[in-house]
Amino acid sequence: MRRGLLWIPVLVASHVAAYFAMGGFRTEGSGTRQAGGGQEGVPTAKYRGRGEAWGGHARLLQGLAASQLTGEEYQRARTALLKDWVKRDLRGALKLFYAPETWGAFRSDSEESEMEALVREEMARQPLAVWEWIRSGTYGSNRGDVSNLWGAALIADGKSDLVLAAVPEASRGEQENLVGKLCKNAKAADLAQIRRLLDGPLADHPDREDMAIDYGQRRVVLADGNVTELFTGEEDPIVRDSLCDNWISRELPGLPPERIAERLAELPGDVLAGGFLELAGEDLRDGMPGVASLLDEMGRRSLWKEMGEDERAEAVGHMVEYAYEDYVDPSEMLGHFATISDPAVRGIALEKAGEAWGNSHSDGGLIEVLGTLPPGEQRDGFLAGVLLTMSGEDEEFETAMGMLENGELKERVVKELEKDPKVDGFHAEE
Amino acid sequence: MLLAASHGAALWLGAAQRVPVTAGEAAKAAGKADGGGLTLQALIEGSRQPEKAGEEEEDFDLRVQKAKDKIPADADLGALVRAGTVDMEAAMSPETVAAFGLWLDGDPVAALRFGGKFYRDHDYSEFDEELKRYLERGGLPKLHELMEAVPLAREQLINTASAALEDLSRAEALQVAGRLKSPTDRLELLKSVMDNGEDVKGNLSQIRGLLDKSGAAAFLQMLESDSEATGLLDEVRAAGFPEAALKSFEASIREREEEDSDSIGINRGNIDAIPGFLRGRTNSDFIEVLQIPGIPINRNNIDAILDGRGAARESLVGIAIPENEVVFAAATQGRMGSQEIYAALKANNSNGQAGERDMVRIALDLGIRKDPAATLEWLRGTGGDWQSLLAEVIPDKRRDIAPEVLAELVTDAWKGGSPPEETLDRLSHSYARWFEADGDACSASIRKLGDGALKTHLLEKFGMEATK
Repeated sequence: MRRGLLWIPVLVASHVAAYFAMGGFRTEGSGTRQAGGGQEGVPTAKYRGRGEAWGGHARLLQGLAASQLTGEEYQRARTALLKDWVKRDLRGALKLFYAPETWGAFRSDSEESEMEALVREEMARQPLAVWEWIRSGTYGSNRGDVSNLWGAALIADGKSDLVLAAVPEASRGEQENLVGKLCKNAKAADLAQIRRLLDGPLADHPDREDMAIDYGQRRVVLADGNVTELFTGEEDPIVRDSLCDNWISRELPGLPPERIAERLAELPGDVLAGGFLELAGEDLRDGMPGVASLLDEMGRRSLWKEMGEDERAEAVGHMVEYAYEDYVDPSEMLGHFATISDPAVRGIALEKAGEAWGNSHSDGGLIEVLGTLPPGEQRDGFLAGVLLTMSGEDEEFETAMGMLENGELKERVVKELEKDPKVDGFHAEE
Repeated sequence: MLLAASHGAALWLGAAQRVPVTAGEAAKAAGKADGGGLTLQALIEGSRQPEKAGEEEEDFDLRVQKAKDKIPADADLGALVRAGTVDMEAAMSPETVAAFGLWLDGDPVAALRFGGKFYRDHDYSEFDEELKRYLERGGLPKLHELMEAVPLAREQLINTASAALEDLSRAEALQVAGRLKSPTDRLELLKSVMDNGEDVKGNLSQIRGLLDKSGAAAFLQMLESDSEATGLLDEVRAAGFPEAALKSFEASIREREEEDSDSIGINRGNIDAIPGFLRGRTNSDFIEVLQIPGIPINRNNIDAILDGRGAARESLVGIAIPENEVVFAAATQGRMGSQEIYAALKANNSNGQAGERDMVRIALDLGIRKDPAATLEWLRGTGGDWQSLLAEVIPDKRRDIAPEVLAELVTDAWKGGSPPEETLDRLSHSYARWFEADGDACSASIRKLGDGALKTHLLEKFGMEATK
């Protein structure tokens, strides 16, 4: 599982060597440090743990607290002191900011944006040392915050290779965060390495799927939507689904329906059903008329046959539901659906539209609306959907049921309501 | 090795370019060695002068304009934009934005093909200003062509077009919308440009003509919430909106008229929503508190109580002593521990205006984050119901005390007994986040806790063996 372990230390070692060679590695603890404890400014030893040394900066902090400075002046002096601390003794300052014992007292200082930027800058100067401090557990439950800063600092400083090298030895939460950060702006080579990590040290990660989504998002950007490039050689179904979903949400919204169908046809068959479901949740152009044309185009291009019947029904249903708004005019909507040439798909769309209408008009008005629709297949399909949302046993329900002309449909509605009555006590008409 | 060399170079450059950042630091050179050269005196002197703000940042738009003048006429603008957007972590440069602007002027379709995708892939909106400028200077009449030519940029185009139309006449907006092919696009543009009664007045019949039935109903639905809706009724009726939509519009106007507006008062609902630090008081206590002379009961101080923050808070809990302002300010700056805060409150309470429990609770609340252990030691010595006071403040301390420190504190405070259920829940909640991110470290921390009700609770919560 941890096949990354072999090559990672090599990479790390080479960087250590390079840093020493260039004279860029500052010796830790270069700030003055003196033993002390129980001073004001830092907490008493009890919850602080094992014999830490606090240097001159701590004493200055104590001095400031006791000084006559007030308000903004005090805050300015405190900030200046803490910034100096960060620059001279990053290890000590990180401990002050993030060790559980002092975190709360210095949180508002450390979260201030200039201070955070300074911390990141310093972290990028001594990345490997900081990573060791992080791994040592010094920061307790705040470890994730520090490694987040560290990852962001290094990536911004062009040292994503070090972050990549750290992923296998990071904690679970860190792995997910670091991979997310890396993916955001990864170049092709880094992204390929992230992909290898997904099969290596991250193969059993509980949030691997989320990381695959981050990976897929960047992969689609780098491939600029080229489907062949995306899917060739990728066998992992989770990653394939992520590539497909990300491709859909990047490439398709805004396109006219014919063009969407044309592009969907580029997708490999195994991901099409999932992709179509993803598409159902996107903001499609042209609302309900657009949905109707897309459903028709799908049939024209024989794309339905790549999906199972249930998958198709689910996706069509979602698409209609998502595009439905409670102001949609039923007669206009039914007119659009009449253009769908596949009768089965048309039936699903009509029924879903009826359900959506019924759910948003539980206060009645059905008979009035039915009056505006010409009898026939369109109205029946829509009406069946509305009836499925009704509780039954009232006058409106009885009248509407009477208007449903298609006997088969009527039978199915009754059966489904019996199976899943909207209110207790629904009974089929005898 | 190339990579390593560049790192080294970056480090060297960084060190060479370092300049003093703060006033305090600037002064430190004169001081004697302490904290690595910094002295208290230097800090205090430095604090009197506000930090010198950096050179006045030149307006970004102006920098874009200047950059445009520098780009040669024969430059490959697309290449410049692509090169300037490779590193998405870096801030967008004025030069890149300038190149995009010029690209739009010369070949809007090509620029939008890039810009539309870019808009989807990143959160950056720097290009929008240029697109808006392009639309304002002659691009708007071509909006419909651009939408057809680059459907991927549709969302960006509609958003920027509506921004560009903000300052133009309504007639122009209707004209631009009217050229769009799709009724959905027309609806979206109109909804965002003419989203209030004042704008639509006199234009409703034309708007209706640009929309299909569903779109017309959607537009009318948007107007239902407008404060001018009543004044639009006749025009809406005359414009031929779909009947169902019209009915709903009329009903919403009736409803609004019946609504008893602006009826926010103190009631059972908001009294009950008061945060932890005031819990345990009855409503009549509360009314007493609110009737401190000079503090009128109004929406603002009710909000302050509901937030559990704000300047009115200390006054409202019964310590309206002006001298305490300094104490509260220093306490919120993390400068004083609970014991000091308490001493200061006590010293300012010569006429006995503040109750003992209130003073202890405020000192506890404001000072605990500075030093939890010392606070507990002090609190124990205050006598009274110190455990229940502690339990009262703990729920609000999520961002002030790390879970492992709080856990030790709670274990210590309730040695031999059990903290309230709420305290246990608050802790297991904090630990849960840590457990998920770093199970091993979190488990180890739980195991290290002293035996007691909390440890048992956490072990059980996270399905851990008692001994391991």
